[in-house]
Amino acid sequence: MTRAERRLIRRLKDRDERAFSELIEEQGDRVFNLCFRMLGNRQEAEDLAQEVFITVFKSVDSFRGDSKLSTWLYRIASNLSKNRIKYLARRHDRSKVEFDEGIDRNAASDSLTSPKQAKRPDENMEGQQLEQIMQQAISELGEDHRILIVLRDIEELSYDEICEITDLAEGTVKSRLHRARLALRKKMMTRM
Amino acid sequence: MADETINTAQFDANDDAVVELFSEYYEGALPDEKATEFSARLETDSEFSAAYKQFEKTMELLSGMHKMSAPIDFDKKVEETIHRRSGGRFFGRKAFGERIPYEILAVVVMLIAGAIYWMGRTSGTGGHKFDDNSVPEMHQK
Repeated sequence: MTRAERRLIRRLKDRDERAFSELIEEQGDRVFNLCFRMLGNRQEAEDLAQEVFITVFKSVDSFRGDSKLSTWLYRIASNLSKNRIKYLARRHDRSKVEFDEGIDRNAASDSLTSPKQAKRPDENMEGQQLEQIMQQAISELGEDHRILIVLRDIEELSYDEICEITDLAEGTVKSRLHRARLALRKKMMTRM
Repeated sequence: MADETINTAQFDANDDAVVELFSEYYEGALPDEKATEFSARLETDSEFSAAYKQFEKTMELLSGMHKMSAPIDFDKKVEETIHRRSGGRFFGRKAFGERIPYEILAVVVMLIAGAIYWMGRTSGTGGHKFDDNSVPEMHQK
C-alpha cells in the first residue's frame, strides 16, 4: 500500500468528506463498470455502485489495511452484486436481463471509452452488437461464474487479487473460471 | 494446471480439461514443453485449431468490452444519499472554511497581513514608521 493510499484511508476514517469525494472520483468508474457487467443494466448498476460507496463510508473503520483499498472496494462490490442478482432473481425482475441498450445510443457516447474502436460505422455497429450479445451471455451465467469472468477477463485483475476479493483458493478460482469460460463460449456459439 | 496430454487423437471441445488447456495456453500459463505441444497440434489438427480459435474469439470479445463510466453526477448522488440517510450529519451545506481549501485561505490571510503591515510602514500619519527626527536628542557632554 502506498503512502498516499494510507493517508487517504486515515482521512476516510476521520470521515473527511473531501477524501470520500476523491475516492469516488478515483474509483467510481471501475466500481460502476463492475456493477454494470455483473447486472447488465445501467440503472441497477448505478444504484448498486452507490450502495458500494455508502457501505465504504459506513464501514471504513473495519478496513484493516491488509489489502489494497481498491481490492476491498471490489470485494464489497462483488458481494453486493451477488446479493443483488439473487434478490433480482427472487423478484423475477425482468430488468436484470433487459441489459442496457445505451451502448448504441447517443446519450451513452459521453460515458463510454472504447479500448478497441472500430474504424468504420458498419464495423462499429457490428462491435456494438457483439458486445450486447456478450453482455447477454454474461448475464445468463450464475453469479459465481459471472464475477470471475468480470474480474479476470474484463477487469483483467491478477489471480492474487481475485483470490483476495472472492476469498477463494487459486485452484478454485482457476477451475471455476475455466468452467465459466466454457459456459460462455457455448452461449456465444449458439448466438453467432 | 491441466494434466491432460495434448496430443490425443480425439478431443471434446466442451470437455473441462480441454477448456482448461485452452485457458492456460491463452494466458501463457502452460509450461514451455506443453505450450510447444499445443502449438504443434494447432498447426496439424484443424478441428482442434478451429475449437481454439472459437475460444480465443470469445476471450478477445470479453477483453475488448467497453469500460463503462459512472454518470457525471454520480458523486453528487452518492453524497446526497449519505446526507439523507445520515439525517443531515454528513455532506450538508459546507461552511466557508470547508469549501475553500485551507492552503488558499492561508495564502490569502498572509497576503492581507502583509498588506496591512506594508500600509502601516509606509503611512505618513500614525504609522509604525521609525522617524529619526521624533527621537529626543541625548544629553551631550
